[in-house]
Amino acid sequence: MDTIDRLLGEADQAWRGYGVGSADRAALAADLRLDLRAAAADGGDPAQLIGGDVAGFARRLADEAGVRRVRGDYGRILGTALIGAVLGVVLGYGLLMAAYPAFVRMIDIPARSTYRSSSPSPSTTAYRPPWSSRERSSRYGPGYATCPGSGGRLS
Amino acid sequence: MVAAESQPIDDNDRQTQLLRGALDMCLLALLAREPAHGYELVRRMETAGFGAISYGTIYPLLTRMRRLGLVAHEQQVSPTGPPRKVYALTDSGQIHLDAWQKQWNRFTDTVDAVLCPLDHNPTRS
Repeated sequence: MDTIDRLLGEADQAWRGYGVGSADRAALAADLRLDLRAAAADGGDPAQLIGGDVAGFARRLADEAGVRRVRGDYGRILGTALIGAVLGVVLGYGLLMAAYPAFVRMIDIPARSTYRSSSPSPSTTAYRPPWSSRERSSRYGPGYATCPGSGGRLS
Repeated sequence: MVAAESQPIDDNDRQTQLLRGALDMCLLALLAREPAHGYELVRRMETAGFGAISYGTIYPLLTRMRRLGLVAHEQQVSPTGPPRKVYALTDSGQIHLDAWQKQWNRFTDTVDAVLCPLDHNPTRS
């Protein structure tokens, strides 16, 4: 039975390459195995029966059996598209992360230049939060951040 | 004008071309006489005088005829070996065989009618 297994292995490989689905491959192989075993029992050599071109025989058999074929190119195209999409996302994320500080610098308004202008308005300088930094520190702890209008310091 | 090329007559090629159009009909006719498995059909074709027709030709053809519903197969237990997949003609197969046989007879009559006068006329050299 080694010869039949080898022949069926070669045929299966050819069917895979030809785009025959797994269920159809199994059905074709089971039918062929039964027939080859019967032929071998009658004295026929399975390798001689099929001939040298096992792949050609397998493709012809698939055609005559009318099995549905899935084009192998689809899998390759899908794989390439998936890899391309992943690379694109990674590259895009990297570029975004690299450019993000520059974007922030471009559109962000520096806090110090606003509140420490050359001629501070009396209303800005006159503003004070409801309680002093010492009071905030005692209420919320030493790491509490002040609002920009209070001078931008951590108390 | 196209110059006539002298080609050696290849009997095998000619035989293959003729057989191509009649092989399925002959297989149906053999199965109509008695059901058989694939390898046995190969031997029957050889015994019938067609020469060596490979299993690689017969088996895919049987598969097609099974798909078309012209033959059906069933697994039979063999007393001397593994189970056999035995093919037999279906009703549809019998109808097709009758139709194809009539068509073949008409075709060969026509070919004979064309070829027969050649037997009485001398050919030009």
